[in-house]
Amino acid sequence: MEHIEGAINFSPREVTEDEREYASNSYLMSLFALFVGLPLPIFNLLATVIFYLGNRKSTKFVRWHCTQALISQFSIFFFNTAAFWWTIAIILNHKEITDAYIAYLILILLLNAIEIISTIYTSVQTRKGIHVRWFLFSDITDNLMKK
Amino acid sequence: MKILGKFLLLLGGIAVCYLLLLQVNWTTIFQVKENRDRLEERLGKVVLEQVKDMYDVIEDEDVNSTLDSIFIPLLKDNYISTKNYDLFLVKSVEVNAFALPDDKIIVTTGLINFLDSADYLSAVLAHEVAHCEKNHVMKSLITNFGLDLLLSGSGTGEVTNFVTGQAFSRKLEKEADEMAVEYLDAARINPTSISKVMDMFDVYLSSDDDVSWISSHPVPSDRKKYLSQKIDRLKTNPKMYKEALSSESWKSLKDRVSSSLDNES
Ligand SMILES: [Zn+2]
Repeated sequence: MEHIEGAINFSPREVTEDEREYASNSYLMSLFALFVGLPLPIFNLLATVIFYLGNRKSTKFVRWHCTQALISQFSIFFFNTAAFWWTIAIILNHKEITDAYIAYLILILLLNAIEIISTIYTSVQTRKGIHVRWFLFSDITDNLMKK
Repeated sequence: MKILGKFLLLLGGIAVCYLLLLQVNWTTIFQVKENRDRLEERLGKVVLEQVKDMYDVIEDEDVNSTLDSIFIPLLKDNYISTKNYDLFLVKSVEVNAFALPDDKIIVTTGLINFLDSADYLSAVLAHEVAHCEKNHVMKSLITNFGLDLLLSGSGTGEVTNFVTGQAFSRKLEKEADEMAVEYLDAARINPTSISKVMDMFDVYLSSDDDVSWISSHPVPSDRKKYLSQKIDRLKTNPKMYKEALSSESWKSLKDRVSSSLDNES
């Protein structure tokens, strides 16, 4: 989405059909896992980790996108897990539902919606071989890949 | 450093979003509406039980079906759902009618006895339905007792005394009277019946009998004034009006009610 000096970039011409498919699938995988794992957010993280490990020996383009998908899943995982345990705490302790809780749930809903939309968009773009860089997550991915 | 900066920016952005979301009273938006509906339902049940303790409910199938034949068309012609409404006839010499929370309406045998025509009963019922439809019962209970006390479930005795006394504010009574004019007109019953009921009460008031329904309401002359104004504004057509019940049927209903009183006493 943005072009930054020193960042890892790919031009669509260099990306093969197979690579496009794998990279695109890594996002679809995380999306699918997100829906399956919504009540217990550990599932989507696990699924993405498994997919990441499976593609470790793949080309740079595929690995780069698997990593970006993994990192984004990892960050949303924290937010969703907090919501999950907050809900459990309310149910178990018969606590009252507070404004803070509802505000947090709406925040989570927003974050997940953004995550889902960006994931679908990125999946479609990578399928075309277009390299999509997310805010912050792409930089972390660059850092991890350089090592 | 670039990553840390972006990380803090993202976290800060999310924190700002959260703080903005915190400004809204979500619990009041989602819960209280639901709470009030449940509260009304619960109060309706409790108060109805207490009213049943205070008065004997007449359970004569003929009488009740005749009353329903006056009551139900009034609701249906105004597109009001009959699902929640219930009409009870209770044994009492008091001339009284009142609405309980959750759309339960009580009329006394004294009222039936007092009224000369089914149209007049329709008028009283239309007025009580207006109190229910405009949510006057719950509104007044909340202003009089406070939501917290009502939710706590204590003081139901006072609540019952309040609803049987039906001391609504003048503004709410006016609203109910004007609404009743529209209800009666839609049900093709002459809305002037309300004024006539008031005339009857007016005469009756000079005697010492217990006419609660009128003593808890604004002065009849005031009411008649705004009622006739409202009827004028409606541009009603008196030709289309019919009787809520033929005078013979009304008379036999009254006989039946008084005979059921005699039987039990
Ligand atoms: Zn009234």
